Amino acid sequence: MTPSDFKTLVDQELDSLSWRPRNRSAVLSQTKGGGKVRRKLTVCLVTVLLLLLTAVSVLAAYHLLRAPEAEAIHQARQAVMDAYGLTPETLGLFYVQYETADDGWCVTLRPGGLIDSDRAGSYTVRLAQNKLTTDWTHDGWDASAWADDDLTAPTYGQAQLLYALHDGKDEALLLAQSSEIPQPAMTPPSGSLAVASSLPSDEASVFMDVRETTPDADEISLPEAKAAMRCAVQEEFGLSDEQTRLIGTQEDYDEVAVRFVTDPAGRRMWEFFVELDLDGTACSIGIYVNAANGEIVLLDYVTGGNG
Amino acid sequence: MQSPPSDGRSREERLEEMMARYGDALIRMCCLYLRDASLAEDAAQDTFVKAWRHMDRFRGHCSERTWLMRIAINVCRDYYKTAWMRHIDRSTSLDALPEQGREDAHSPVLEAVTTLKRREKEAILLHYYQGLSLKETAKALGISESAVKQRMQRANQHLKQELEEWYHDAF
Repeated sequence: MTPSDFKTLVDQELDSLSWRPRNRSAVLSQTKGGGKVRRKLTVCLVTVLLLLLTAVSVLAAYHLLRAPEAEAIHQARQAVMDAYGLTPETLGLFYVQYETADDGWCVTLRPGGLIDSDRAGSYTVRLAQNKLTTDWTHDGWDASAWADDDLTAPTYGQAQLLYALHDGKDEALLLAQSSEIPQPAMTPPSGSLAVASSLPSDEASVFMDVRETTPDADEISLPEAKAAMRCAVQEEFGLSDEQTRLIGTQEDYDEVAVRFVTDPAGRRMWEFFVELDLDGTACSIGIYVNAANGEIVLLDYVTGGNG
Repeated sequence: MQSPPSDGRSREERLEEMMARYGDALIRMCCLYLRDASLAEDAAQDTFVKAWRHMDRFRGHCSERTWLMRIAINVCRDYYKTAWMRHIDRSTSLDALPEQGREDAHSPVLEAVTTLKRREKEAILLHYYQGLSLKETAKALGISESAVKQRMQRANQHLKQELEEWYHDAF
């Protein structure tokens, strides 16, 4: 097949998709100082963005609360960082699983699909009888195996994981593809989330996934939820006040998503997806804030992208 | 080298001409890249807006088309980075495109192209669809020609494997 054949094939197959006058108008509008013209850009989205800015002042006064699950996951990540030298960037390559135990809890961090799961191993943090223990499936292995960024080494430490996020991404992915262990992308809180049934489906923006809903009078407002979200992100990633203030304010419309959701148990939450740059590593963060009391239900994040 | 920056046309005129000349191909390329027709519209629009904003910086170091495609690829990459793109299921987007009464499904060739790894897909789209030379493709992607060849080779291997039963020697 020549380039010409391929072009003909694409143009025939996608002939219904063409540059239309409305596309031209949208571009010209922006070049003349108009804002971005987005599909389904609703009043609610504008409201959300305005509230995003006003939330800054709320941040300073916010006291961070975490639900037991979120607190356990937070503690577990800290424990892994302390014990094994991982950082938020590299922890973002792992997904978390939380379980309650008789006298405490257990959090397991398993590698996502971007790295070889056998080489990366899993980290387990347990709280039992008020005592925290941290284990890695490769405990006891020769530490020289993860002293540098060699991705063919039998085990991965911080150096290899960092390398796998950047220059070694392709190589790491190739090695990971030999693993057939299914890898979920993110951990939803307590079962799969469902969009609140009260939300009108036609309000759903395909692009932004913003759904407008008005919390009940006794539920926290969006600015309050944003303050909680920012506070949690700041503490999780050790951000400065200035960096925290900028969360969700500098991104394009494309990169901020917020919606009001409920889980099967009827728990109503604000759900945020925000993007953060961690020293050159793109980090996608999902945060769920309980609308009843403002506590963080879950903060989960992934690094490494999907490209 | 086409359309050097000092050809006397205003920015607005150049933008209009670019939209007229490259609009269709750009939006279709974005669609194959992102597997979503609606996102493709946004990405194509963003590409032209960014081109307009940075037009003064274009010094004719490559053709206008190569420059524009480089912007488009960067826009698509940015879209890929967004949280939303990570979590949506794009597996049916291509099928869901309107086909204006056509009864047959989209070509397996296109389906196979959309499933390529991002870097390989970029090379295929720029070279095969946009008709850029290997050198231009390398410039658009900011990599060496040999790296482009490698990506094309890997893409071809994948496509031949995917299309073995349907389309011998597709690429």
